[in-house]
Amino acid sequence: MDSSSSSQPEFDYLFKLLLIGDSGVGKSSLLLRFTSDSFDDLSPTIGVDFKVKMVTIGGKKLKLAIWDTAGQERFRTLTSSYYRGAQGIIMVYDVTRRETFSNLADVWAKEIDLYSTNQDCIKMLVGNKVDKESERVVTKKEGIDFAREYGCLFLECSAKTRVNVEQCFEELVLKILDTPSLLAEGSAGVERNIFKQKPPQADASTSSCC
Amino acid sequence: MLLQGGKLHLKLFEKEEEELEMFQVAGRGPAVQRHEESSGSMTRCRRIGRGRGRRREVSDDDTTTTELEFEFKFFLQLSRKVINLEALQQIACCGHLNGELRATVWKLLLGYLPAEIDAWEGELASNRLRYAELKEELLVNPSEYLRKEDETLSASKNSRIMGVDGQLSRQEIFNGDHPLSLGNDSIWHQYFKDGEIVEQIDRDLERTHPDIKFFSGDISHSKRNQKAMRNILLLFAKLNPAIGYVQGMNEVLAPLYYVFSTDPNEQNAVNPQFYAFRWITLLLTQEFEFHCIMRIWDCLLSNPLGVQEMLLRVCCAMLVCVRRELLKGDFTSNLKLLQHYPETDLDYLLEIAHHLTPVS
Repeated sequence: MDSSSSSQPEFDYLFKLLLIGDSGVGKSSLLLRFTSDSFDDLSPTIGVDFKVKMVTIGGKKLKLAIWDTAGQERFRTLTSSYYRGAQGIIMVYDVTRRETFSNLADVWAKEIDLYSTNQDCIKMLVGNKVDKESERVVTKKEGIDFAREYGCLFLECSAKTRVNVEQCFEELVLKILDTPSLLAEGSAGVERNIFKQKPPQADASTSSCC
Repeated sequence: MLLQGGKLHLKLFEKEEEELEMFQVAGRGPAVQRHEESSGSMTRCRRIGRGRGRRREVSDDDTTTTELEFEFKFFLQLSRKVINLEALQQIACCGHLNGELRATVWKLLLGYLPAEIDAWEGELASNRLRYAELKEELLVNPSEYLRKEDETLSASKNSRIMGVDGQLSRQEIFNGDHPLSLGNDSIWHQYFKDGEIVEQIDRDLERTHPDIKFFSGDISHSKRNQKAMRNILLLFAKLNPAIGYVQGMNEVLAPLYYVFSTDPNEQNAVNPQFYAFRWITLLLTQEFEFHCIMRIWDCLLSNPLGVQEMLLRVCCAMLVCVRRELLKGDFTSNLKLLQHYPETDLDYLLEIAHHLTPVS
């Protein structure tokens, strides 16, 4: 955190977003594409990974803290704590692997019910790897139907070709911005942040030196 | 962030908790006395940035060796199970307390934290709970209190009331407490009496360090600080009716409140699970360059304490090495830092890891 002492906070809201889904569906790749617009062979996520991105969406300066979880079942006992306070949850599956889609209903939706602390938390369903169109086994309509049943937003994307990646995060955040209870939480974070970033200072007029 | 007997455990910052620490320290007889004893020696310490309002004027470059030495001694103390208070007094008196350590040192010197590090967590938790209960009991606005009372009452009355066609009898409407009650046990009467104290406190808080934004300003966090300080002073007055609120208490509270509420330990806490899980389960293989991993493993495998013990010490040393960044950072920057551990002087890191080994 830089310690510049400008009196304006550097963002309007801080949102916590969570990426969940089976191992190998491309959660980390999706995040890497979004935060640094690159694509790479990534090693599996152990425990949790964490990235921050500043964006301007809907005219608001936002700080997105994005938690990228491990997909493997062995790590699931750890994941419960990651859900706490999340305003948005992105459920990712691989359109070329059927089981990653069926696990959404069998595993991931249940995890959300169990651990999400936030009633109004926005959920988003994302089908990744649409660049492999010839290998696709989950149709777009199946995705849409699932999203309708579980009350999620829905998009198909490719972290590899970057198609729709930004839109995933953007639509999710716009929906959060539309939800007053989530907004209130996000701005509480800002307040806490201002508080912590600023040690007491004399009025600007007397401390402009150095 | 603190090393608590080699174990790292941190709490997320919570507003109520920080109010409580002030309250306890200010409100406990023996603690206040001890504070006065120790404040004599405190004044001999170099003052850092007060008045000009900057908390750390010292940049990393001109950090004196004494300060580093102090920190080192302090960390040594903290790696024990029980802190030697006398030793701590000596260190604190002659050393240079910086803002990063001051909160913890003061809490110990004031007797707010026990010398047994293992007891800190429980002690803090129970004190915080007690403060929350006191606030609930003594500072709640009567209408809120009565509403809650009503809810529990009406739950039991409901069945009866339903029987008489939904209408309340005249007596039932007026038997409660109300703002015009004159009886001494009326909570409304008490509330208005408290109002006078609150007004006095508020007038004084507005004039407490008016040149420092932390205490007075129109921004939300200074308002929040004022509110917290008002709660502390009011609770003290109510719990010590013979003393009440005396002007000047606001001034005594100010440094305590400032030091404890800006305690970095409370604000940038990161659950170790979020970073140390990977460090430990993967034996640090994802945190360093490949050739560094070899060096670290040399050290892990050769240490007589065993791989696991040494691994934990290396992890602690990793935290110690970036402590300055951690103490400056907030939650997000700290988590980022610990998940993407920066390049570091490996010799130094391993030396610290060895130093953390307790002398048996």
